[in-house]
Formats: sequence, structure tokens, C-alpha cells
Amino acid sequence: MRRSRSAKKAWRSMEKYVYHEFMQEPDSMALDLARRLADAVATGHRDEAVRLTRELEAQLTETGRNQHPAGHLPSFAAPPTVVPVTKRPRSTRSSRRAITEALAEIGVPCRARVLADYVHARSGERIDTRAFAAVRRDERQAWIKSSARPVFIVPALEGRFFQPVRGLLSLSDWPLERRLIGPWSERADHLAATVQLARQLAWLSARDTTAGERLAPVVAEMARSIPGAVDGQEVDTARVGTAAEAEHAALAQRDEPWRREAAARAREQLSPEQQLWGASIGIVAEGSR
Amino acid sequence: MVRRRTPPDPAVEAALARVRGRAPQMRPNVRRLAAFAGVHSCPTAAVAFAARIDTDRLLAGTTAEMPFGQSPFAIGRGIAFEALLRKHGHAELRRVLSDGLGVDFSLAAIENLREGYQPNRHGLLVRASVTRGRMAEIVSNPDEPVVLDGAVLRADVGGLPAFFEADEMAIGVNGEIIVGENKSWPVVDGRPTDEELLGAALDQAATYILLGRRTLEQSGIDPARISSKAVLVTPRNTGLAPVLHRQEVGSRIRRVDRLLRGVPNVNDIAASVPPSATFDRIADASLAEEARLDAFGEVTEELGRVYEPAACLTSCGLAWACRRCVFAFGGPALAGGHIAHALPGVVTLVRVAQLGRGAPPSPAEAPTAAPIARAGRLYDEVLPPGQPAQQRPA
Repeated sequence: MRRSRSAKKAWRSMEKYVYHEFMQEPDSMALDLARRLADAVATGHRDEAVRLTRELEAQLTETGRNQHPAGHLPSFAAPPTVVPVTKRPRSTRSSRRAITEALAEIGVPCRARVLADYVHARSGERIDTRAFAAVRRDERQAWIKSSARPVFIVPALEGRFFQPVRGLLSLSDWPLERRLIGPWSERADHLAATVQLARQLAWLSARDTTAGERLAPVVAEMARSIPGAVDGQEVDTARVGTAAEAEHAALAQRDEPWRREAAARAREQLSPEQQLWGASIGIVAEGSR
Repeated sequence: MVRRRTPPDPAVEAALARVRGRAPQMRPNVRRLAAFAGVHSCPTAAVAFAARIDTDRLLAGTTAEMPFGQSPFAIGRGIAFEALLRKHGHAELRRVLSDGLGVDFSLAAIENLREGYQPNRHGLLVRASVTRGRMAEIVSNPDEPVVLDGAVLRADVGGLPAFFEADEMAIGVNGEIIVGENKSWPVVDGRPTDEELLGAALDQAATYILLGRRTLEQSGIDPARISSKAVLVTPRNTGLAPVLHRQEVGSRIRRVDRLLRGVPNVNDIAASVPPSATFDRIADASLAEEARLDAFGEVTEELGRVYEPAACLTSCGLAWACRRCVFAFGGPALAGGHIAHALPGVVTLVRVAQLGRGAPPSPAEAPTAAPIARAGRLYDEVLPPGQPAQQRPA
């Protein structure tokens, strides 16, 4: 009889149970019952399956082979040993510092998920992406209180009205051009970040293989949307870099002049505070539709 | 010259605020408009729509609250699908538009209007202004590919401004503007898993096309620049890999146009609502359920109620409460709209039974009474009055 895939699966499981677990030698009647039971389960005949189960139990009880041998627990026999207790290593730097360093290394505005993945790949530390909102708030408060921080984590600004883009983080010491987001900027920044991370991966792989192994899937994921950058399960950093740079060069021809023009407008229109934290638009009067 | 919008009449605003009371407010969108289309002949629904009352939440906490709303799993899938399209600088969106429309979008400018704008009315106003400006630019540069992600279109619905958010507007496809809508339900082997969802999505796209054309017309641009072929981006089969479909929606655009023109004007409604009519007590969660439903009964009696099970139960958050009211006095609408329409002048089902047994009709009932009496006689011939009534097979 030709069996369906589920019937075969059920039968293999049942065979293992009946044959290997309880029997020293095969019991043809029990095996036949188990086979019919597996078929009944796979075809959904519940009543038949229940009846066959009872019969199988009775058969195994009769032959006295369905009892677990005493002390059937798995054995981990080994000589006694002394194991030192060490606490899980904790990071000595704060989330803020980790984010700042990650942004400085990547060099373009990034989203929380990319930063969290990068920090984990580089140092093994996990940053909860929910913590980013608190970091953003704290940064603004620190700036208002004139904190002596050398650099602040600030939002990127959309380039039309210079309002903050909350999901994209940047550093206050970057030039305004780099912190502005225009119609080509998100893709251009993604490509620039991929080039940078591919370079880092090449460098890390020669010095810290563990970190390199952690960074490789991050680079692969970022490069997946770049035509011709990755193929299969390996990351060729040179290939990723070349493909990303080629696409970046084409986009940069449009993105960079746009950013320069927007930055000039921003310097003209915005106060130093607004250049860091963004402007807000007040509606004075609603125009016609 | 820039025209200034006339500010809403304070008297009208005050009248609508009084009608609304503590009732939860809603913002008109395509989904609300489509729901209202199903019940636009009901005076209570019309007043509630004009006063921006969220009828889905008005009866929250009572047994008459309708189980409306999207599944959290569907919402989660929708968010994940949209995030996939926008990931890595809209890489997937660029790919699917390039493959589906035959124009290279890999270097297209993508204006992301969902980020960097306040999530409130001010943000919508600014986004509507940017959308209008970008659409006008096609005149000067028709072949430059541009995508507006989260374009906002503004329309007057019943005399009040409303904002509608389109997923995509792809500009520069052979000089045309293409309106696109992202949906996370799958298309398996080229067929949508739910035809109703497909219809609703195409209605949505048709609304955006209509509003986009009106916007272009106001800017002095040929409205035909917006294609009547809408784009749907959905996952292929059971995964999330996006695929693009195009569909002609010309007839749907005309239907939406009729619908928008048919929404009653708030000024007329504010003038016609009786001073005592308010949804305040219905929404008051501190009151007992009976008191809230009694208040609902009073308001709907005063404003007028058209209960049609087929339309109301699928579109209106007040349907269960209306059904309860109609049941209390045995209205013919309980048996369905087609029965109610066949019984003009007869106010209750009890009276229908009496007329069927030969009761003398009133002048208002006269046109309907004869066929009812004839039906009653036929019924008695088949089932003589002495015999116990048996349920006929369906």
C-alpha cells in the first residue's frame, strides 16, 4: 500500500517506539498493530486509532515488554570534578557610549536595529532597541542642561522643513550635510554603511575571528538588497564593497548636491539649536486646497 | 493669489460638538467612508458621520458593541510587510516598481512623508502641501521617476476637510502618475485569498486617484495625468516577497465620486438636528448599560433610523443596538430590507399578521393590505388554522 508522507512519519515514530525501546527482538504482531495504528492516526480515524492503541498496549503487556527497565534515566557517568563559577561578563560602558561609538564607526545616520546589531557583532553586548527612545530623551535633556559632553546623539533631519526624523540617529559633530535626509539619502546612507561594514569585516576577520563571525551575517543582510553583492552563504567583502560603491556613486551624483543645497538653506534659516535637534512647523493659516 | 480657507462656522462647530458630547471622535478615512457608503440612507448614521463620531467605539462596554476592528495578527503582518518594502532605503519597493512598471526606479527620488512629520493634523497639512507641490512638478519634469511614500490628499467630506493617506504615488512612469496601495494579504497562484479584501483595496486606490485628480485640477494641471490603472503591491503566495499587480478602476472612481458628493453637508445637518439630540449619554461609561441603550433608543427615535440588516451589520457600529430597538417593537426591518420595502405603511410585524388574518386596514395600510390578506388566505389553505403551526423547511 502506498502511504502518505504523514503516515510514513507516524509509522517511523511508532516503529522506533515499539521496536527499539521495548523489544529485544521484533514482535511481529505488535509491529503489525503499530503499523495499522500509524495508518489510522495519519488518515484521521480516531476511533480506530484508540481501539488499536488498546490492543497494542494489551499485546505489549502480555509479552511483558512494555515496562520501562528500572532506573531508565539517562546516564551521564563521569569522574567528579571541580568547576570554577564565573559571572557572565558585564559591559563597563553605557548604552549611550556603545551607540555613540557605533555611529562614529559606521559614519552615517542609522536606525536603532542596525546599531543594535552592529554593537552586538563588534562587542557581544546586547542593546535593547526599546532603550533608544530613552537615550534620545536623555541626550536632549543633557543638551538643555549644557552638559559637557563632547558629542550628542541627535536625530537626523528631513531636508525639506528640517523636522527631526526620530528613527534615524546621528552624531552632533557630523557636518549638517551628513545629518540631512533627502529623497536619495536613505538608500545612499545604507550603501555607505554597507561599504564601511564590509571594510570592517575584512579587517576584523584577520584580527578577531569571533567578532568577524558575528559581523558577517549583519553585512550579508545589509548587502542582500544590493544587486550582485552576495551570492549563497558566503560574504566576499571585496565584492560587497565594489557593488555597494558602484550603486552609491550613481546615487551620490543626485544626493550630494541636494544635501549641500539643503544644508545651505538650513544654515541660513535655523538657529544652532534647531540645526541639531530640528525645527517644528507652526501652521499660521490653512491655505486653499 | 492664495485663497484662504473660510474657517468653519463657529455655530456649526458648536452644534456638532453638542451632538457629539463625550462620544469618541474619529477622523474620516477611506475605510470610514466605505463603511458610511453602506448606511448613508440612515439619518442617525449620517448625523454621527457628520459629527465625526466613532460609531465603532460609541457603545464600548455594552453588550451592543460590535466586534469590529482588524485582527492584531493582520495588523502585525501589515506592519512587517510595509517595513520590508522600506528596508535598506526602500530597496524592495524600488525593485518591485521597476519589475512591475517597466521603468527603472533604482535611482528614483523617494520622498518619505511618513517620517519627520508630526503625527497630527499639522503634520497631515504639511504632507498634503508637499504632495500637492511634488505632483505639480511633473509638468516641468515628467520623466524623472519620483515616489511619494505616504502621500496625503485632502478632500472636503460633507463640508469638513478630511485627509487621506495613500501608500505610494509613483510619478514619472511615461509621464503618468500611478497610485499604489500596499496590502499584506497574499495572492496565491495569481488569485487573492479574499475577493472582498481585493474589492476594498481597489476602492481605496480609486479614492486616492479621484482625490489626486481633483488636486491636479485645482493646480491647473490635466487630471488625466493620474492613471486610472491602480497598482496593488501584495506578498506573493504565503511568504512576504512583494509582487505588483495593476488593475483598471475607472468604474470604481466614478462610484467614489458619487459617494463623496452624496455625503450630507454638516451645515445642513447642524441646522436640522433637534436641540435635544446628543450622543453624550450613550457614550457615558459611568451609566448602566440599560440607561445607555435607552438613551440610544431615544436619540435614534428623534433623528430617525433605517435598519437594514444586510448593510448595517457589516458596516455600522450601531447595528446591534438598532436591531435591539427594532426588535422591541417588532419592526418589519427585522425580516430584511426587501421585506420592509414590500410593506410600506405597515409599522410592525404583528400588524402584518393581523392584516393577514383579514383585519380592516387603515388608509395608510390599504395599498399593502390586499396582497397581505391574499397571502394569509393562501397560507391558511395550505396550513388550516386548526392545525398546530409547523416550521417549514428553509
